[in-house]
Amino acid sequence: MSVLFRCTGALLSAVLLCGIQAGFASADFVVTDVQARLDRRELHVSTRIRLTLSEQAELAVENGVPLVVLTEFVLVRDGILWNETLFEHSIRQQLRFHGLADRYVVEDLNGGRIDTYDSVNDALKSMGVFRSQVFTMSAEVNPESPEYTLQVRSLLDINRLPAALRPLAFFSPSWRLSSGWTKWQVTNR
Amino acid sequence: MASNKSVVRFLFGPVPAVIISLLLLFTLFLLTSAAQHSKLSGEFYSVLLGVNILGILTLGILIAVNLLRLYRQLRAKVLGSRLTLRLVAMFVLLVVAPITVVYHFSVQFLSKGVDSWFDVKIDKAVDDALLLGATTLEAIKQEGVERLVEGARRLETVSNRFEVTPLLNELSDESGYIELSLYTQEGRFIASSYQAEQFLIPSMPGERLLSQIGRGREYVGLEPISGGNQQLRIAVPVRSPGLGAPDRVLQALQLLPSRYAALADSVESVSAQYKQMIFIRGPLKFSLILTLTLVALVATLLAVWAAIFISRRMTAPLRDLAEGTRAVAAGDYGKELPVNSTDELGVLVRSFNEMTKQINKAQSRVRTSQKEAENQRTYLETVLGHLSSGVMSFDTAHSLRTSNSAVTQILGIEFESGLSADRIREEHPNLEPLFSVIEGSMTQQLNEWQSEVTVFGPRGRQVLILRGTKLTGRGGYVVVFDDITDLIQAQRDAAWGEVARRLAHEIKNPLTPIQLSAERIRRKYLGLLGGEDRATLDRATRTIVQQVQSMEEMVNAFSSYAQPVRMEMNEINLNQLVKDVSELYKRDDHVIGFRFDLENDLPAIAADARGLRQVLNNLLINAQDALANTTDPVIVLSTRSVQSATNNYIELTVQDNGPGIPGDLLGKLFEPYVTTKEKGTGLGLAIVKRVVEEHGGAIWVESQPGEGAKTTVRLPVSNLRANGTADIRLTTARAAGEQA
Repeated sequence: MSVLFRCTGALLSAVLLCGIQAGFASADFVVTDVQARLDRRELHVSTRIRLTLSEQAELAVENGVPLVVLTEFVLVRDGILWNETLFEHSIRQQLRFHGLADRYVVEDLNGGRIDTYDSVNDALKSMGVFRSQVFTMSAEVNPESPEYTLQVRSLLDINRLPAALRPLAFFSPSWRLSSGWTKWQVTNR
Repeated sequence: MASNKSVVRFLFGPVPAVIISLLLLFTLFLLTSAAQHSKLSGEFYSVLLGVNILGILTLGILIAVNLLRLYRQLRAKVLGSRLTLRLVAMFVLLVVAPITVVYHFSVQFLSKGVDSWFDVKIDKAVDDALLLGATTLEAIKQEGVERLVEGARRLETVSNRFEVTPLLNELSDESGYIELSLYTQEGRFIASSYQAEQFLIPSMPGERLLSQIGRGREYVGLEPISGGNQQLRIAVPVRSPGLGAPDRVLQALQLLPSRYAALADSVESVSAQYKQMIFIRGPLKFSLILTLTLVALVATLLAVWAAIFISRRMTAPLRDLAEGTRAVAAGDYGKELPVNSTDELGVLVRSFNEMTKQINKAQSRVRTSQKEAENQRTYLETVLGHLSSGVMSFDTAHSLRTSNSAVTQILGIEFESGLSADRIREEHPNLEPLFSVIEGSMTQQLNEWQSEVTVFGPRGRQVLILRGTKLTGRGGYVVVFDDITDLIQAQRDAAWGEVARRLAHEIKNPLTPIQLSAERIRRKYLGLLGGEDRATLDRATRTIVQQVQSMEEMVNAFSSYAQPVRMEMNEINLNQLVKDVSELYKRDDHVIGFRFDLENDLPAIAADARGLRQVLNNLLINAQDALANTTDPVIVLSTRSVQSATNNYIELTVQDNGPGIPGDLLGKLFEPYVTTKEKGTGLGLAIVKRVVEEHGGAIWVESQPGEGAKTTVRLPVSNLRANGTADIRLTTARAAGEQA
């Protein structure tokens, strides 16, 4: 039984330690601006998200660990009792460091586009900017209805981390980077 | 409530625990796979981890609840709980100890194993490979720079935009650039040449590039592009042809030759992976130890739960057996235990069930026998209860064991079982004659005996004939007695009737011819004789006639005594009766003094007034006769009421101060024809005794020679019959009294 207690204690200590570390981290993802416009079946979105990595995450990138940032867009129509989801779209971007080129590489995992940057800040800045993204929806929205909301969230995808890093990331808030869902009013045309 | 209990029992039973265990094992397998780079389970790593922790917590709660139940059972001293605890402790010890050892060595092995993966030599080799790749690329970069510098010189002379673009196309064609662009020093686009459509939008130079060009230096950088290819971004300054005109920036994007690109990609990939591995060495240890800990924890919890479950299963038959034994000890022989196994415990339980079944059958037989015995006892009690004879049984300690209702009817007392004969004698002195005989016979241990005793019971004087028998087997005695008072009276009546009949027939009948013959002789020969003969004849015939008349009167009186007389029973004030009768015997000369000691408030009794008057007359006549030669003769008459535990009665005493009665006569004073007087029939006291006995009373005489005599008459208070009459056989008081 003492082994069980020791292991449980070690686990709790690790969680506590990670929590303390997270307390000192200033890392955060913040959705600063979203402009969204509906045009029949098309959703035009321009987004600016401030992505700031924690010290641990940045160190991981520099040591060859690729990070995947997931940005999600959900268009909902406001209802009385519940909201109706009309459209969902996710964009995955991978940030990694290319040692031979001494550059930070941002790869759009949806489209395959690759951009390189001199610094991690440039890379993160680029990753947080979506200019004039046009999403095509399956159904046309009612142009007369004004009650449309775009929910935007950006987070670090822990499940895409190397397997060995996931348990620590699971328990450590410094790896649980997320902007949380932010809501933005959508204009028609 | 029952359904809730069954739900709770199900929730904390084996099924949920087994399901949770299987789920845990499966998720642990997935978790382990995720730790080994399984892409599928890696997507749900967090979920798997959460499910595992939740499952462990649930399993822990199940175990805690089971242990709590076990603790409560221990506190309540439930059968089998101690054994269950011991088995659980033993199983847990057997399982936890090896798991602990394995866990400890596994943690050590993992830590050291992971550290051993990383070697300084490998680290150096990777760095060297990266350096080698960079060096190789440097030559290609230098060649590219030189070629682009040459192109920049050609552009220095061209400032017109329309001339620049063809020149860029020419240079691009010559060198095989995928994009060749001209920018201002601030990075504004001037002109471009591209080979592929995807490069319609020029790749703008970065700040670092412009900064380096601004400092008058060339820029060369390797960049990965899509499709696994790599390109070189080369930039050089383009001097302005005119004085004061700003310099420009020529940027070329050149694909790295595929052979070099593959090698560079390989070196970069290996280097990146190795650095990544070094970086995640700590988390990797944490991950592996975490997984190992979870596995060990699950294994331990499963072992503990299995230990509890198996212990309960093992002790359940023993607990049932213990409860069954308790039930049998408490007299419940119908308890049957469930047989859930075919092993030795199952055989034991079956044997127990067979044993209880046999005991139950035997018990049923015993109950049947007891019932039969009870029926027989009831039958016997019923028979005894309806017997007219009193039946008492005594144990070996001479204590009363049983008595039937006839005992109460005859003796007027309901005895409690367990009373000793001595105690009964003490509590009921009137029954002294009866129980002294019984006690004496039992003390002598006579096998069979028979006796006749007289007691004063609720109906007055009672003559009892009793027979005793020593019981075999359990020991003790049984005594059967009958009240033969009425029988003796009837026999005596019959005897006296027969005597009277015979007297009438044998004596009285010849008396008339004797008297007639004497009178005839007198009449015929008295006149014929004279002198002495005449006087003799006259005296003889007169004597004959007188004696015959006397005999006739005596026979008549005796016949009357023997004949039944119907008497009327009325309430009598005995004190008043005593005063009335005694007045007849007070003479004017006051030779005999009378003293009265009569109790006030004497209760009335039911009696025949004429009969009691006769009794008083006879007793006073006897006292008067006894005082004939006594100086200062005194007759004392007294009455008093006496109360005993069972009877209320009145005592009348007639006491004189005469010479008393000889001792040899005291015992037969009340028998007919016993008298000390010269004259009289000798029936007076016999008649008195009969009258008293017919009233249910008793009479006795106490006397010491020279000290007078004291006659006591005891009469019961409540002997009035329902119809107010009683059949008594009594001669007329006067006739008998006159003859006494």
